[in-house]
This record gives sequence, C-alpha cells and structure tokens, in this order.
Amino acid sequence: MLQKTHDLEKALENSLFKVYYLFYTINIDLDVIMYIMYIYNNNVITGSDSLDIIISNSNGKPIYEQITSQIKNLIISGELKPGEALPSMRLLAKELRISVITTKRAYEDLERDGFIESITGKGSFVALQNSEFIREEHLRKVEEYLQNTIETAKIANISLEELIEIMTMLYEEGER
Amino acid sequence: MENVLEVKNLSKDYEGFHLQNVSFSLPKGCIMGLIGENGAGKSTTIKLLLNLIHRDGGDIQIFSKCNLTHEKAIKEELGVVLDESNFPDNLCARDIDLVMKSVYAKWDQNVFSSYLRRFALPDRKRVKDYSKGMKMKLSIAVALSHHPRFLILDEATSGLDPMVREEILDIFLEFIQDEEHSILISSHIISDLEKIADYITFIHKGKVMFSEVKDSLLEDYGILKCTHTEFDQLDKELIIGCRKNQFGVEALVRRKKLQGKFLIDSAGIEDIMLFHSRGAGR
Amino acid sequence: MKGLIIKDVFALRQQGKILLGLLAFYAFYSIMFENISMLAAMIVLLCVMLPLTTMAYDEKSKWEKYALSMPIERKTIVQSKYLFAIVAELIGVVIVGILSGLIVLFTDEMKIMEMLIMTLVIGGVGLVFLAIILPILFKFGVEKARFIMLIVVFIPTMLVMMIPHLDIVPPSIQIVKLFGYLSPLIILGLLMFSIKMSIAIYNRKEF
Repeated sequence: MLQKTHDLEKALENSLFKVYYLFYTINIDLDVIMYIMYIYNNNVITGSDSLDIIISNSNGKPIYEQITSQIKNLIISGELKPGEALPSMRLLAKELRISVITTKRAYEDLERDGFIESITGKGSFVALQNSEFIREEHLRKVEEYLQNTIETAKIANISLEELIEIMTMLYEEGER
Repeated sequence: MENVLEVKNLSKDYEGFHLQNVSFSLPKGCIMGLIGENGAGKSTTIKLLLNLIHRDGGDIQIFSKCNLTHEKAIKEELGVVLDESNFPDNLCARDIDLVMKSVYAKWDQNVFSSYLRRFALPDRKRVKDYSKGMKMKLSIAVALSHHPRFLILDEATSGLDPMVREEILDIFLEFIQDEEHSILISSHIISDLEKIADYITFIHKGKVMFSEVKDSLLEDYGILKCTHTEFDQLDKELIIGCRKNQFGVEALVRRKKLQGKFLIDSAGIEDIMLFHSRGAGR
Repeated sequence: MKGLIIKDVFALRQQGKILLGLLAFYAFYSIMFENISMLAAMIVLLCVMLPLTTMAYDEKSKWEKYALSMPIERKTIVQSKYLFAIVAELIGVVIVGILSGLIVLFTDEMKIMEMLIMTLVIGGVGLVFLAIILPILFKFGVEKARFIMLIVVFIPTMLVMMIPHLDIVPPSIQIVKLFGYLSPLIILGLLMFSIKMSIAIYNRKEF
C-alpha cells in the first residue's frame, strides 16, 4: 500500500514536472529553456542518449503515425535539438523492422508539418524555426499532460486546490 | 520513381493452370512481397522472370531491359534464392566459392567468406551434411556475394525456424539500405512480409488480385463485424469476402466506401488475402 | 563454362576415388592376364557413366534450374557436358593406350599397330555412344533415360552377337579400310549433330 502511494506520488510529480516545463517553453526565452532542459535531462531522463522510438503493433494507430508523434514529442521535449540530424529513413526502417515506405511517409508528414527539413543527399534534420505551430503543439501537449495529472490526482484523492497549489509552487520555483 | 521490375500482361498456360495477364511493377529501393496460396502462380511468375520457363505472352523488364534479350547482363546483377538448396551434395562452401568465381564476373570472395563467417557456416563441410537452415543461408550468401542490385527469392524463408528467419530478414533489411537495391520475395508465410515489405502483390488462381503499397492496403481494408440482418441490407458490391457463422458475419470491406456507423476492425495482410480468395459468394 | 566443369569435377570427387580404384583393379587384371579388351570395355563404360553421374547429381539437387538463374546460357550447360564427357573419354583412351603399350612392351602377344587401332576403335565407339546418349539424357533426364539407354546399349550388342548367325557376307577389306579412314569425320559430324540437337532440346526445356 505504502509502495503504491509512493509510486502514485512519483507519477504525479513527473507529469507535473512536464507541465511546468512546457509552460515555460511557451513563454520564456531560449536560455531559460536551455536551463530547464538541463534540469529535465538530469532529473527525468537520466542518461539516455539514444533516440527512442517504440512501435506497438496492438496500438490501433498506424505505424507512420506512431513514428511522427514520437518524433514530434522528442523535438518538443528538446531531446532532438534544432539542426540535429535524424536517422535515415532506411536505417530507421531496418532498426524498427518496418517498411521503408512507412518511414518515408512519417518523414514526409513531419516535413509537411514543419518539424523537420529534408535535404536530398544529406538526410533529414530537425527544423530550425520554432513558430506558431510549435506553440500549438505545446498547448496540446500541456492539455494532454494535465489530463494525465488530473486522472492520477483523482486516483490518489488529491483535490483540485491541492493540485493548483503544487503547480503554482513548481511553476514559481522554475521562475526563480 | 524508376522501376527495377516491370511485368506486363504476363501469361503462361499449363494444363489445368493458367497464369493470366499478370502485371505489376516494383520501384527501385523497395521490397515487394509476392503472396498467394500454394499453386497460385507465385513460382511460375518467378520462373518466368528468370526465363526458366517460356512465356505464352506478355513482357518483362528488369533494370529497364527486356529479360530475354539482355538475359545474361541482367543475371550478372541478380541474386537468386530458390525454394531449396540447389548445390550438388558433394560440394562444400570452398568449392562453391571457386565455381562461382568463374560464373559471376563480379564475384567477391571476401564478401562470400565474410557471410560464411557471419552465418557460422563451415567451409569444408559438405553441403550434404548441412541442416536446412544452413543450406538456405548458404544460398543467400551466394546470392549476395556478387554485388547484386536485385534479389529474387522464391519461398526462401519457408520451412525455417523463427530464429533463422529473423536473421535472414535482417540481412534483407541491410541489403536494402542502399537505395539502388530492391527485393522481390515470394512466400506463403505472410508474417515475414507483413513487417518488411513495401509493396504486396497477391496472386490468386493465376491472376493478380491486387498489387499495392502495404500501408495503404492496411489503411483501406477493414473487417466489418455485423449481424446477419445488417449484412443482408448491405450493398453486396462493397463486400470483398465474408465469413458467416451462426451468430454474425465478418466481412472484408473497403473502409472509405462504407457509409454509416459500423464496427470495423483493422485487417491484416493475411485477413485481406484470406477474404479475397474466399470471395463474396460464399 | 569453366565454372560448370569445375563443379562437375568437384561433384565427382567422391565418385572419382571409387572409379580410380576400379580402373586400377582392371588395369592390374588386364596386365596380369595380358588381356586388354576387358579394360578397354570398362573405360568406354566409365566414360558413358561419368557425364551420366554428374547429370544425376544435377537432377537430384535441381542444379540446372539454379544454374540458369545465374549468368549461364542454356547452350553453355549443354556444351560443358559434352566437353566434360569427351575429355573424360580421351583421358580414358590415353590410359588404355599406355597400358596396352606396356603390355606390348613386356610380352609379344600383340603388335603395336594392332594395339593402336584397337584403342582408337574403342575411343570412337565411346564417342558414338556419347553422341547418341547425351541428347536422350537432355531430353528425358537421367531417371527416365536409364531405360532408354539400356535399349540403346542393348540393341547394338544384340546385333553384333547375331551377325555370325546371319550368314552376311563380310565386307571386303577395302570397304573396311575406307570406313576406317572416314570414321573420324563421321564421328565428328555425328558429335556436331548431337550437340546441335541437344542444344535445341535444352532450349525448349522448362524447369
């Protein structure tokens, strides 16, 4: 029981952390983002250098959509930095054991949405500009995370007031 | 995109079996899975590509060249694995190396021996004493050791255990890393192809039922699950194949064509194939 | 071509030891009993057997289907079999020649000229057999051709055995001599025709 509560608390803290972090990326300039990313990297994702893309077969979503959404997440979270090279379509297909056409479609969609840029003969790179759609994408993420937060909070019987309190605290902590 | 293989209106008449107007094309850099039940015409098609049998009509272009007039030049750049090991029993891998050196202009002994090492194939042991998986790996090593641009495999993974199949699929995915390389692979084991194939061509009773991008197949088709009365009200044109049981009906449909609210599950390649051959009639 | 011949040699390696053993036995036998005809007959038989054995191996492993998926022409497969068979036969004839020479050297049972003619005749008969049998092998495959081959070998043997009983007037020495001189040309023509026919048969074959 104690272990379970502890786990719940951990999960809550994690998702709140993401929310607070995301709020920042919307409003605050680059060095703050860099700072937050630094904390984020050190606290949340400890020591994972490799690009992780996980494909589920039982997940109803088509595979190319799973790839695009995960790469989008990686770009938004800053794990993939602007200008950074993405694995080649063929390598990705090989490693994930999927068809080249699937990865090609995923990359095309990402390019269309402005997340990546493809240069023929050189490969694909994370796009440099962080314009309106990134903000929108962020907002969507925030909502998603908040949803998770609320669900977790409800399970743990944490009231809305308490939740707002924690959030304010975390938010202000980041501001300092 | 440039096509590595183009088949147009290919036909071949046997007693009791006709390959009729088979047409499909494979773009460069892609993997195509040729599926269909035993005796549907997969092997016949592949034999025609290789000119092992004579066609009764149609046209085949490999590397944009006619497969009859440029036969030798095409085969220099073709890696072929047939459904069984075809080396005389008494030969060992070293012998095969020497034989192939004078068969292929671009035979690469270093590549061959690196594949032998990778597959853990003893080079002095006679082929006779190899296991089935080893024989298949040997054939694949031979097919890849003369720097081919196009691999043609006929039932190459059938009858092998999952570990070996996995290993072989890895090799194929490695081969395709070069965008100039393409693969045509026939199999009745669809799970292998479902993962790695870019295109699926389904042959049924000597005819091509479809030849499409795999992802769009998976997207387009769905399995409708409904009651008998619902089913009877449906436009039969929409039904590609169905399976009725006492308590309901399952039918393969094209998702977009079906208007209204229905319970539609996603269909795998195997489902699509099974329902197609089942037909709407039964 | 080279690859195919190398392959045939490799495929026969195992068989080769047994063949050499047999050959040695008959060589020993014929020298002991000063009778070369047994050995000569054996060699003709072996020469017919060799391409047959390689073709049996090919058939068993479905090698031809595979070979044709490589840059090897159908024509080349046929030619390589002929070349292999003829070379094997020539080697056999040379062995017979050497052995009979040895026998002549140590005994005076036969004269050298007689020996030489006999060796050549045996070589010629071997080639004629090949010319007849190979197209049949290409047409029907080793399994089915076995029976036909028996007939091909059996009928001439029967005929030869029946000749003394038939009261045919033996041809004059001149005719025999003329035939002897012409026979290399006849055999060559026969072989050429046989190769042409085999290629035509093989081109039509389906795998």
